[in-house]
Amino acid sequence: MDEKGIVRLFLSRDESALEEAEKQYGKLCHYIANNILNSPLDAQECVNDTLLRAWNSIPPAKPKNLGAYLSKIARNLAIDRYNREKSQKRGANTEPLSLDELEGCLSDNSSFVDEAILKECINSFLRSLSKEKRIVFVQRYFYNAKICDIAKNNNLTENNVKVKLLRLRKAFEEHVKKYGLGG
Amino acid sequence: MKKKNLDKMFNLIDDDILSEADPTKPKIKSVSKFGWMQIVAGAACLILTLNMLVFAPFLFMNNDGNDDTDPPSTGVIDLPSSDTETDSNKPSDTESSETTDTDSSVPNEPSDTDSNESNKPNDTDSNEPSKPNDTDSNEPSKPNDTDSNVQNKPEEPGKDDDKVKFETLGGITSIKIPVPGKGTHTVTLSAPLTNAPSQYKDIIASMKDIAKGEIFFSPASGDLSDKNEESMEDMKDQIDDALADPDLKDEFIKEEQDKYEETTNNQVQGIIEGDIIKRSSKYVYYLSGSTLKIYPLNGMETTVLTEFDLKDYINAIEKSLKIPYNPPENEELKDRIDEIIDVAYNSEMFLSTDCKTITIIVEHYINQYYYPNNDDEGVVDVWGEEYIENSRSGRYTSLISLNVEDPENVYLNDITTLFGAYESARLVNGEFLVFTKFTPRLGELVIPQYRDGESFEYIELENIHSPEKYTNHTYLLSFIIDSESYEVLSSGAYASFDGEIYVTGDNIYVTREYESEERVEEKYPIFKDGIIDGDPLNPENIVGYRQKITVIRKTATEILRIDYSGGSFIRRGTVVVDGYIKDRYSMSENQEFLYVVTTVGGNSSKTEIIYEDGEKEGILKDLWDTSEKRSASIYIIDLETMEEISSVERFAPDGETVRSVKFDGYYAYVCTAVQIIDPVFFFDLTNPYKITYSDTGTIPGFSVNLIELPNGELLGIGTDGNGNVKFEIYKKGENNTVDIVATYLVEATSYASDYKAIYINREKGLFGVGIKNRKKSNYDGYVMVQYLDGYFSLVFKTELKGTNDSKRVVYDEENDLFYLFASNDFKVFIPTIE
Repeated sequence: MDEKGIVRLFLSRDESALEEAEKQYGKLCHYIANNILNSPLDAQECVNDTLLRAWNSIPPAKPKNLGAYLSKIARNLAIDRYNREKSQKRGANTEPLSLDELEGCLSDNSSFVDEAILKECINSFLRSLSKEKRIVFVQRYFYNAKICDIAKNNNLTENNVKVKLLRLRKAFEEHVKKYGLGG
Repeated sequence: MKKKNLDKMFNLIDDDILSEADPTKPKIKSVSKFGWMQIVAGAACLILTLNMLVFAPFLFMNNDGNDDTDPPSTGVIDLPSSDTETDSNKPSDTESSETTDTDSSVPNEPSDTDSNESNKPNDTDSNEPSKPNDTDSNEPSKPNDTDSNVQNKPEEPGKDDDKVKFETLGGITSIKIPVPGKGTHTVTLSAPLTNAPSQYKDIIASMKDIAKGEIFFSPASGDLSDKNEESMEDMKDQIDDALADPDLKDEFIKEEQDKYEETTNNQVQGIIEGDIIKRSSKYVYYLSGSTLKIYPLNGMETTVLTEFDLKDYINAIEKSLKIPYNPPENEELKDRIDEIIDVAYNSEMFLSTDCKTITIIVEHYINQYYYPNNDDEGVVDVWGEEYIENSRSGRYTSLISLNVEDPENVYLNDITTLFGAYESARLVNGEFLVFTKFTPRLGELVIPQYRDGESFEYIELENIHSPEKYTNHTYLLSFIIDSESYEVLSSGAYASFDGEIYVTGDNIYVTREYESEERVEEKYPIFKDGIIDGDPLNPENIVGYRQKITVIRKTATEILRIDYSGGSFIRRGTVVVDGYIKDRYSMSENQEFLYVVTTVGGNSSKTEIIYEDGEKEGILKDLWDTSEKRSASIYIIDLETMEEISSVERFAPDGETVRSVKFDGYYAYVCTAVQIIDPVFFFDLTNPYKITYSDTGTIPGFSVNLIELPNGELLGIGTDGNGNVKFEIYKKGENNTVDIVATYLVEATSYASDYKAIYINREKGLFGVGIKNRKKSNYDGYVMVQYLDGYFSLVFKTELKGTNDSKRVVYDEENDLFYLFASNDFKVFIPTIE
């Protein structure tokens, strides 16, 4: 079933929407959650929560890109869970998230920032990149993929990925300064 | 707060960008030869399956629109010029699959998990293919849809329904073939239609299969015509006409994509080297000095399409670099000074993987000639003369980027200029690694630079390696340059390292050769009264002392390891080995080790005897003794510590020097020779602490190039010492020997020695090299041999004018013809069978 069909099932409150969504996007959501939580069991729980969250939000939401919609939910849920566990363990035995690599790019002084600015900042940056670099950056910092996975997915060597990410972080740091977000 | 902002920011990434980067989507990998076989087999199965599912119930041929139920014709309908081999079904372009691969059917609309009411404007990606009307009953067919992909009902006849039509929906091309009286049959192609012959063959093959298959002509179908053969011909004509229609071509038919094809003999796989020839599937680019020549591959009709001369750009660069000349004070010298901008003939180029950009690396300089009294005679090359003050002279290396997307309209993209004479370059992971050598002249600027826009930037001092002792005054310079922006990203300089350069995926090894001096001093007593063996502990017997000083001069090579994996140049240490390295092929990095082969020996020594009071009694050896014979050694270096951990020293017979080396993983082949005898050694380096080896014994001639073959054999190209080029195959024998399998000789007095100038086609067993023969009226040509199943045969020997190292070959396997290029010649050659 295609994406639109699944959204229609959600909108018509047909419970087979969950099964179809799981079939189509379960793997992706699991991938995102597992990369953050490093636990397949926790990741599966996250996927279930994602579908439930989608069920509760569609309608009124009517996402045109269901895959991206579910990805963001899964990611947010996984990060929330990660932060909870990290604080419970007082930071012990938790691997840092890849997004932590970009923390140095933003200023400590940045307080509440308008969403529109954040959106324009990140998307203008990503669209200024070549396709390959954009994919590497997004896979690392949105999908939290490991270096070896990114290399394998994109037919690159691990070294190449590391070098690209190093340069991209520098470029991102320069870019956010233009929006007053830089350090 | 910044973490929250980061989290929020990444939640706001546009949906189409997220979809594009979905890591769980299957990616199209570059397809190996065997991968193509799988695709071809898969495509053939798909077409056959589709035909069986879709066409079985229907009659294909019925011209008159009647409901004929005549019995089927028997036998195979023979369609002209169609080839049903499986590779005719293969997709002509891997990119075609990508159009079905991306999830681009939905325009992106950001949906924010925090806000359920996002109704943001569509942000459609202009690259998305057009979407069909999305109603349930008319889903476009997709090859990856496991349900029946193709319309299996004929459409109702309508206007223009008697013409073949092409339809592209969602990147899939369908061909709608009318069946008079029956409606339309659809053939869905597994790849977008191109005008490549293989695509046409696709269509014909499927029609032929339909015509052959019993299921199609099954009586149960009830719709058979006795005019099948004529109808098939008619259908073929219609498809031909449709393919030839220029209007259709723009809309539906994609030009077969030009694809990059690797043609350079790179030392390390994945590390692309520059060369004077590069190619794509459609064009060959050949560099002759400062002129780029572009040839479209048109078989026997091939001629040069474009000649692009870089001289004007180089002149402009030089003029922009030059400080205006101020005449010297001496009036007599105020005469004519001519400046001639020259280009060195070591230019190389790179072709981008999208075949749109050629980057040519050119070394250029000014020669200044002084004519006293304006007299043409007595010209003096004033290069380096100090009375030419304030004039800038020196060697520069420029990267000149040309857009070759339209080979008939080549234009300049960008230029970057570096200090120093061009040495070599690599293309690694989308970045150029360029090496130049810079030798400052007395009184000139010492710190090397590179050009950044209008100004020059110094290489930072922390990136300059200064050895403890300078052995020459040349810097090797290294640069990392972005292959899209041509921005210099990193730079380094290594004083005195003017030797070889070997590049791997992570490291650069640079060398310098020097004479090391070892001084050995021995002191021994002189006894009184002629006592020779006196007691040295009894001072009464000792009347003096002698000192024996022996000075030994040895050639040594220092190797510096530079780690560039992080995007900058980090020096990781040096190691010194005895002897000198022939070339970069004498080094090989394998896991955590570096293997090095050197020629050793030929050292000299001198010994003096001096009395304690400084008076020389005499000199035992007053001439430098150079009687030590040369030989060869192999060393294994631990990369972590940059220390030698094992070696085999002087393994070659006395007097022999290293002629060629080939490493193959844990194994090494070394060819040594004096003049005309040539053992080939085979080393097993699997255990780095215990090197073992065997050899062929002495055999005539020697090889200057060794090429590993797929079945463990080794090809040596060199000379037999009797005026012949020698092609020779070696194999490791059972009794720890190296055996000769086959030899082929071609009369020639010289041949190409540059590894890049050798044509190597391991798959076909074809090997070629440029040759000259002064004994035969200065014959200037090219020889190609084939090695198969233990035997050599001559493929061709033909005239080709130019320097041997400038000769290159491109082989068109499909048509069995060879394109031969040289500095002064070009020809298309079909070998004749004798």
